[in-house]
Amino acid sequence: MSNVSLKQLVKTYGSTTAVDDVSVDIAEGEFFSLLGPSGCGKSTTLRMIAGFESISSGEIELDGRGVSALPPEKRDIGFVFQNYAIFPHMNVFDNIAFGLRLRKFPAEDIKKRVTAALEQVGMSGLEARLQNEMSGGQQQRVALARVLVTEPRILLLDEPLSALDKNLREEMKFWIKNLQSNLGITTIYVTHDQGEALTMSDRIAVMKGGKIAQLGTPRDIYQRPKDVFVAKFIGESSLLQGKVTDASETGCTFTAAGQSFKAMMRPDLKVGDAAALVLRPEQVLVSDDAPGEDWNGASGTVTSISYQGATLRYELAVGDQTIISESAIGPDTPELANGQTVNVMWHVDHAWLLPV
Amino acid sequence: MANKPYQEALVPGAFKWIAGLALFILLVPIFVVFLAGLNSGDFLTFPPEGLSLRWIKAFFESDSYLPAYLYSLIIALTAMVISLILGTLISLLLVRSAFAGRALLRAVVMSPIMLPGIVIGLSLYLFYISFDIGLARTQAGLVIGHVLVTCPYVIGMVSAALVGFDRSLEEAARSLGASRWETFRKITIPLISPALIAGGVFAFIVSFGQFDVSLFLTPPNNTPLPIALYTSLRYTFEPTAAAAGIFAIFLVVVSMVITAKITNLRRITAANYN
Ligand SMILES: Nc1ncnc2c1ncn2[C@@H]1O[C@H](COP(=O)(O)OP(=O)(O)OP(=O)(O)O)[C@@H](O)[C@H]1O
Ligand SMILES: [Mg+2]
Repeated sequence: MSNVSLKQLVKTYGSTTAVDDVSVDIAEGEFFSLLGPSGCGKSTTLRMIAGFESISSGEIELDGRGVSALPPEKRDIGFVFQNYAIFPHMNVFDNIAFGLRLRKFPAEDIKKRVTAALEQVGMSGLEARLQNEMSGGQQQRVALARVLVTEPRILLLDEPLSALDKNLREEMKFWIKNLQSNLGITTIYVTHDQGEALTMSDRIAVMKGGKIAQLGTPRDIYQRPKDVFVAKFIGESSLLQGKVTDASETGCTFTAAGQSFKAMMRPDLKVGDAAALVLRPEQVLVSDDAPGEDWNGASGTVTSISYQGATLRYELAVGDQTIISESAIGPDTPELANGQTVNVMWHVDHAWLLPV
Repeated sequence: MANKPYQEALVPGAFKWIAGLALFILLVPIFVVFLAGLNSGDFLTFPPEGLSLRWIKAFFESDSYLPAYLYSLIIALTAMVISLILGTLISLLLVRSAFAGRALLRAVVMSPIMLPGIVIGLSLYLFYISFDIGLARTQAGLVIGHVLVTCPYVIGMVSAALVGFDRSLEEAARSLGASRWETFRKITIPLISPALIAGGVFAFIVSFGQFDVSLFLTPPNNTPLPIALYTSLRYTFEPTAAAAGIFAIFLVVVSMVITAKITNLRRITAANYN
């Protein structure tokens, strides 16, 4: 188990900068995700840590020691590929034994460890299978067993679930997270799926154009997005465009659609600045009642209602802007109709502003 | 009456006939050589006067055919090994590195299969004698000529395999602790081995049957089989030549069978673990 430091990491390909000044410290045993849209430099970052790509400038440290001069085989890093990269000319046993044989373990020992690793990933008895005789999920487990058996210092995973179907993806998500926390191995996980990143990670770095747009816990990132990009990339949100009209120590007043709301202030905003209020659909309530203390209320009109199974989703017009609300269907869920005027409410703690 | 369910023919009937005819035309000469070599008469005739092993025996006792056969075998094996090594290295260079002039290099190394062999033989011979580098009419000089024409087959096969090669397999091996060389040996080579085997067999067969390139390059004391056949048939019309032909065909068949066996064996051993 090790900690990892990326120091001003840069990777350029000719005139394109794939990774642009990325610095982050990842703690021992942490589950860290790199999250971002396609082409933002996630894989390149991971591949530089593994040693598959050279770095253009900066440094990568494992346990405080620079590793950028070391070839991949000297870094002691486990890498799981998007396509699993199971050696097709070897069966499961030989795939998993590969790293141990290179380390000249005695045959007896290898057998014991491979058997244990297979058990750990729930693949006992499939030693003789070849790559083309396994499902994606099984290959995934073999790929994990193959790196874990060598007891790497850190585990790197590049979109390991993206090739699986939805149900299996859900299952593997929790399975990988469990395995990781049981082993306590420092893990860097690359994904473009915000759901995966939110459920699995201790911390997330949201990347955009080779840079880290925001670094924080899943809660931070979801509830306190730094900018519009992060807010839109993580989860669904409505943005209410307006202006900061007054500020105090405890908060500020935000005016939008001709109405005033209480919101949390952030240091990078001042009175008079244009801003956007991020509202997550599940944090917006729709009701006939007046809002309570610490609640904001806006008067809106229901423009569309859709039934989602577990939830009801309303589109609400507030002035000339739209707010989405989604609430669980319970016994006292009010029946609203299109065109009805309602109170649209959200708690002050959920009134997070973004600079625009 | 029950209708037969409609089934699309996998191969249209006309194709089957054309393929059958082509196969027949290709196999007839082989059949002719075979029977001519087993002729009991004194001359190379077809149909044979009777069947006997006398010319097979003559082949083994001959002081020109058997040595020529063995010499061709040695040259072909040498050319094959050199082509495999050189061809693999050149393929790696062509497929895995980006440099200006890569397309040109590719065209140059592949050109010997497009040029007439006689031209290659003649140019090499002129080159050897005009620079007086001691290769004219030597075994080394002959092997160089053969490698020129056999190497492109290996390059063709191996580069095709490398183009479709999933590099993440090599990266996986590296991060599991394998050095570059170990990765090449344990991952790259086994995975491109079908291409290596096919390229090697091609190289062997092309070299073994090589006449054009050999014509000007053959050393005075040793003659490869195709040249020996040609020279002796100019003076005598003996069935020993056909008998030698039988052994040449035999060699090709054996190399094909070995190839098939090796590829099968690989499949079996992959499914075995300890
Ligand atoms: N070998 C290369 N040569 C040139 N440009 C490259 C190379 N590899 C990556 N890039 C560029 O670097 C940028 C980042 O690529 P990277 O693969 O890291 O993205 P990513 O975040 O992993 O995206 P994805 O989610 O699609 O995998 C992209 O713009 C890509 O085009
Ligand atoms: Mg990627």
